[in-house]
Amino acid sequence: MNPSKNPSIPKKAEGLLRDLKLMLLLTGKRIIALVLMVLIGVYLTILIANMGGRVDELRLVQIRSEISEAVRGDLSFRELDSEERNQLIQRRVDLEVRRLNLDRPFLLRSFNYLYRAMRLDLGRAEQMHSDMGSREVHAIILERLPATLLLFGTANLLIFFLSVYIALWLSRHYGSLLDRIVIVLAPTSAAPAWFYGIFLILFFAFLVPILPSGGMVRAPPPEDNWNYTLSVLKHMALPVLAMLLSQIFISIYSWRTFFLIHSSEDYVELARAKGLPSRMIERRYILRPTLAPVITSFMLMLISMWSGAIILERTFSWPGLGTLIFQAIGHHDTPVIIGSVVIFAYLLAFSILVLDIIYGIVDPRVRIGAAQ
Amino acid sequence: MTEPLLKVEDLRLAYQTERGIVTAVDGLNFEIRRNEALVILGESGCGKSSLAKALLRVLPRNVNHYSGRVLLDGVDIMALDPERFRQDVQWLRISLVMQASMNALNPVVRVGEQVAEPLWVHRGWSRQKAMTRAGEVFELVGVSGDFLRRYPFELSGGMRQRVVLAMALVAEPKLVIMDEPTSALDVLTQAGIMNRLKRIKRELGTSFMLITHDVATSSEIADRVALMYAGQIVELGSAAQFFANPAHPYGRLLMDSVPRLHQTRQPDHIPGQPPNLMLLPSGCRFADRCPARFDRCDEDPLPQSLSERNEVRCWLYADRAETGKPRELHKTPTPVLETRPLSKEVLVAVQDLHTWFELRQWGFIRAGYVRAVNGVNFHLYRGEAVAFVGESGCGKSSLARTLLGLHPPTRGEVVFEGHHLDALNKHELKQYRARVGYVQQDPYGALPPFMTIRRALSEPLIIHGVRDRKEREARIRAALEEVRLSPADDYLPKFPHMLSGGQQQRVVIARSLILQPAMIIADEPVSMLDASVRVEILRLLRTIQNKRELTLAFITHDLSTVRHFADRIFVMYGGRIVEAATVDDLLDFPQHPYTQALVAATADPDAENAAQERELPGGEPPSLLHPPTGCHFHPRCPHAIKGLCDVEEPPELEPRTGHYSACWLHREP
Repeated sequence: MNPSKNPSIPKKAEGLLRDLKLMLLLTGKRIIALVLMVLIGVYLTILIANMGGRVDELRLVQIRSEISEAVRGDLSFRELDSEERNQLIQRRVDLEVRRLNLDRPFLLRSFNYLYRAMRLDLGRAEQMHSDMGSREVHAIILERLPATLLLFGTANLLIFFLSVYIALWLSRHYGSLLDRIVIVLAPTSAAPAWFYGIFLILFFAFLVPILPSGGMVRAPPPEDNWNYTLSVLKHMALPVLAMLLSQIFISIYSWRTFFLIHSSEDYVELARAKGLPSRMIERRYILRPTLAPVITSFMLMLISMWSGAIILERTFSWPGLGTLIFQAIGHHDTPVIIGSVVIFAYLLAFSILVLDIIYGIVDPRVRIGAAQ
Repeated sequence: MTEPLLKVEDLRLAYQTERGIVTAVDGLNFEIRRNEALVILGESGCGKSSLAKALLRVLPRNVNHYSGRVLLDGVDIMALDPERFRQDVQWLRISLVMQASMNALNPVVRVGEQVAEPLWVHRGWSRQKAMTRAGEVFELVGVSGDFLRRYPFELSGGMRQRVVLAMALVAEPKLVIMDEPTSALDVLTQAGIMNRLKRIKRELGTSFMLITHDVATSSEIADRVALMYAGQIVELGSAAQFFANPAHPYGRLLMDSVPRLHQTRQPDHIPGQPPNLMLLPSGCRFADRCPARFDRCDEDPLPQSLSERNEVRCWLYADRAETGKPRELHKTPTPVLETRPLSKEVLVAVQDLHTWFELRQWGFIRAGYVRAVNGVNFHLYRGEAVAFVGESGCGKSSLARTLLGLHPPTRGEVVFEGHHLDALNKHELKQYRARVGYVQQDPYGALPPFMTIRRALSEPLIIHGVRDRKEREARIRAALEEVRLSPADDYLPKFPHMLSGGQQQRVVIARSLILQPAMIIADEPVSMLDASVRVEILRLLRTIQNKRELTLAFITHDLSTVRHFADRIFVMYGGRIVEAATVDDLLDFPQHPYTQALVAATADPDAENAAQERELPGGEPPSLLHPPTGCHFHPRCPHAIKGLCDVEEPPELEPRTGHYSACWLHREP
């Protein structure tokens, strides 16, 4: 009946503390789930890569040929007759087989492989080596990874922010000329990025040669950091532009429609009636509630772009993971292929984790629902 | 003091649509004084929501025409430029309460921030100061300040509506516009909010403009009433005068069509439909449906003043000076519904029925059960109409779906015409489905939008093996005839969106009848329809039920609609039946405390309502996941006996002959 004079208002800190706790809980749960997921994924890869024992046979043949070559090539064994030499080879092969646990059942070994794969101990490449000359698979992959992350990270962040801002703007200027242009251009995203890449190279590297056609940096690389960065940026321009062209219109179009639908929600109308400035309505009442699904669609887009990475990097001779896989397939270099798969599994799991955390931050329903 | 707070002069609003210009608001004139509540009453499509939008300038993009004068404290706010209007008028002087729904609040912003926002935007207050003020208004509308930092989805429907109300009051505006503030809420919650509004109006001296289609709710707060029809105000007068004796023929018919709890006279319906807002007639807009129509109605009627601040837009009152009294309103009386005596043949027997839904966590770990139907026993006789009454979440819809065979019962059984429902094989189940018809709540959603009426009606016949095209056609026509959609040729080739809500619901009823069922289950068949159409559909269902000797299970949350349309009532609460009796006995002598609360909260239109607050139980409906021990109603019950009601479940007792109630209060001392 009578409102008390000192209504109990929870302090802001309390709300924050609750959110922090919930976020920690959510992150913990997600990490456990994702580690399980990666374990299962990598283990399945190991099972498949074993190809029902054929790999073991191949490895045995390989070990035998390596050892016999080493023994035959060794001058100190020149004196031995062929029987003794064969016995020596057999002994060494047995030793190597036992060292590699190849005499144990595959099931036991598979867990050993899993353990090693999870620790990124990916073994040695058969043919390929890193630029520094190492034959360790993880060294080869780690060398290429930053290049891929740089290219795709830049392109995707650019696509995300550009599309969200343009989509918001268009949802306000619904039916304008620009809006109609975007609608007309949306189907152009049916073509993949490398398709645009070919034309971009044709235009900007050959007809109007202002940008390099491929590679990551000028050869020889510039000495000082400033020029080096500038050169990398110049080399990035065309592949980034290609990805932008192939994705941006469809994402602007779909998000614009999405924002348009959500801007007729009751709470948006109520916010207008409250007399809030239109920038505030756009940010707080249209963008924030729709951010979670927008991020989801963005992640799906990102994953589909990963799969296009192989061809796109080839088109621009970009020294990234895509190019690496392409070369590894060409060389039949199994450890590198498996290693790349493991790295991709980690990358995917990591992006899902990031997505989950972002979800929890932008949508309280996820944050609070997960804790119950 | 004579200067009104708000004076609206010749307000007009029209929209441009693909098919033409829709006139939503057509020359409104009215005023609201300080601390006065004006109710804008009208059916859907009469322009009442457009009026709210027009006053606050929250307009859609396709406005074609927008003009008039709106004087707030003598200043024309229509003439202000948008930025001035936004800063000076919106929310600080006029605020809005939207229809209760999940969507009225931003789902990802804390409710306290949403309430306090206008203060830091318009008044430049610090966040802390604005939050303190938000805490004050929360207490005012009866929500604990603990909820300030919660999100909308953590609040119940009633609490969300209170928060929306708090938001409207936060800047102490002089006028609060409320657009259907309670129509989506349960009876008890609705009555609780109306109590709050009365108190706030008395204590803060705020003026209200309440927009609603619900005559009974409108009488809860109204000082004055403006009755709208097809974009115009047809009658404007004091609440006392309007509810007792409306002047306009539409007002009279509308009052006669309102189902009332405490009245034995059967409600009538208003024949016909409102005019198309794109092709408005040049004369009186109600003339087509008016029983008092005469030659002069071809001219647009001018508002006739009846007394001070009381006018009506009808030619019947034009020549009063000459004749001394208005022309008579001749109405053909609606025939009284006949009911046949109850048969004693049991059609459906329900024994100890439980329908529980499993809740899972992580997809496989069982987290508990939602006990939607939790131990229900009853018999339905052939040819009777029963009503299941209860608030949302009481399990009435789950019960209906279990009876329809859509959910398997968790425990207990349903016996239909001697067959156990869970023992039926696939073929028998199909036969059973033909014996039970289903009428859903939302007629538009119940009809496939891409099927013509002919196809929608022939589908059940095809499924149940009526191969002969001619026979199908004949049965479809007969069914349409029975629901009074004639001539059938006008309706058969149409798509659902071309029909009005009432017509769509008739098609749904025809579809449920076409296989000659023995029972029809109607889940809230009229709650989406307008007041004048409701009675029409209910009468139709009742007539068909009587004629065909059907059993009708009619599910509703609104006690006032059941009196003439059911023989017996079951009141449900928390998944159980708490009271069962014949209609008159139950409504006149409710025994269970919950039923008593429901009856007390159900308003009949009366100007006196505004003066008093209703007595209501506090609290919220019980959780179906963790129901309270003992009687489910004991936490809210004013008569709960400690140590008994909260421990042991009450048995079904018979305090009056043939009147059952599950309550410890009735046990022999």
